[in-house]
Amino acid sequence: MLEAIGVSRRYGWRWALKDLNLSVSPGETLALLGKNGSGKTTLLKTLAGLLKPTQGAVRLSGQPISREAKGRIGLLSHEPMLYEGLTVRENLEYFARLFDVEREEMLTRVDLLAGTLEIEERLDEPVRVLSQGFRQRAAFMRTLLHTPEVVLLDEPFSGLDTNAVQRLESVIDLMRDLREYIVVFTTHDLSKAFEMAERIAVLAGGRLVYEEDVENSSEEDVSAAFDEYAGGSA
Amino acid sequence: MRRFFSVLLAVVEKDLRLEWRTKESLLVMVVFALLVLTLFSFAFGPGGGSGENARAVQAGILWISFLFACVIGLSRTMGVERESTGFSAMYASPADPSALYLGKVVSVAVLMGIMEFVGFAVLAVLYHADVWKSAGALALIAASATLGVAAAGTLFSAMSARTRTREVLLPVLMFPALVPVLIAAVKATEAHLGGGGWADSRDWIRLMLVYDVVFLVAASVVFEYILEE
Repeated sequence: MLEAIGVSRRYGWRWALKDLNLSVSPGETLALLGKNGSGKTTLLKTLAGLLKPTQGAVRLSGQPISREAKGRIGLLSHEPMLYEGLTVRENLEYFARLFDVEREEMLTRVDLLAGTLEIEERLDEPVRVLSQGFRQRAAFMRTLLHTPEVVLLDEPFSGLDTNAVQRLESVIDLMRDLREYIVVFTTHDLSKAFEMAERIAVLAGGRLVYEEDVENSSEEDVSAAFDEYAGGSA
Repeated sequence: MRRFFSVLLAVVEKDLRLEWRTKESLLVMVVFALLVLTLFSFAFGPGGGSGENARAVQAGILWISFLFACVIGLSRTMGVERESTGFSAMYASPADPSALYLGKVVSVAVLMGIMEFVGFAVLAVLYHADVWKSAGALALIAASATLGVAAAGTLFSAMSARTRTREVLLPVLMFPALVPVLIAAVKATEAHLGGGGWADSRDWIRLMLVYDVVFLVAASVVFEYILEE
């Protein structure tokens, strides 16, 4: 289980997260909604261990996010975290070594992911020549290369065409079929959140203002939470 | 240990591959060092001046040119990490920060080593310095100094990489910390260019080696906090 316990995070004088409590169980997909600046990205980075909470703690399976625990987490950030001068394959080989993935295993996973994401023909091209959609697919491969238990996706579908969105969705579906992953993703797309997640949470001003299972919730409820706390629609 | 070296080598391979593709850092470093050495050769005349101080002047010009060239190279190398959010990617991984740091140090040291080889060759030609007679000793001095410069340079350039004033901040942080290495490198180089032996340079080389060890160990420990956003 991934837990945020009383997590607050401050940038200078501004609180990006304030006393936030959240838990996600294995096999569960949580959609995080919120306006720009509501703290979604900060929360994902804190859950990934990239940012240390100013107060509170993040725990994975009851343990703090140690260096070893980071090997169980995959983060797809706004930034692709890929070297533009290297090819997609070279980037993946580099990150596989950082995450201690054996070469044979890495090759198998690259084949599987590249096939599903339809990026095989671009694997040996430098990242700098790739379109936004293919960069996002490459970044997605980097995120999943070490088969993390926790997958944190920061607006994974933004700026992508329909085909690319379908490819990413098919990988997420494939992952969920294979194993009980914890998936947390941020989005501004309410219908996408209802389509993919089991639970919806809304952030406003760094606080969790709405949290409900999809089956007990409706788009109207979430929109009402936005109107009440965030001052507008998702 | 296998994992430590695997990460270290992964960083070195990645950095050198990126450099081989673009040659952005190395080219600028070599050109800058050549320009400084050439300009000073005109200022001091062939042989780098005359009299007792000629060798000291040559050694001083040589290491100052290397140091300034290194700052330019480090800025570019760390620029690649900044643009690719490479530090965040490193910090998000379970890789040992010490291995990541030492990998960056080795990459920088390799680039510096190539630049220094060219620099010593230019010193021999433009300043009529007897570089080849003491090639072994000068190589050891260069290696000791390079390790120190790369160790400090990597740490401070990583610290300043995410700041807005990084170009100004890097030399301000790095140069004072490198004073012991610079003095030792100049003194040891001067001794060998002047036909001196190991007895004249031994203590300076020891000083550099101690500095290298202390800095490498200390920086390896703190590098994790520098990677943190």
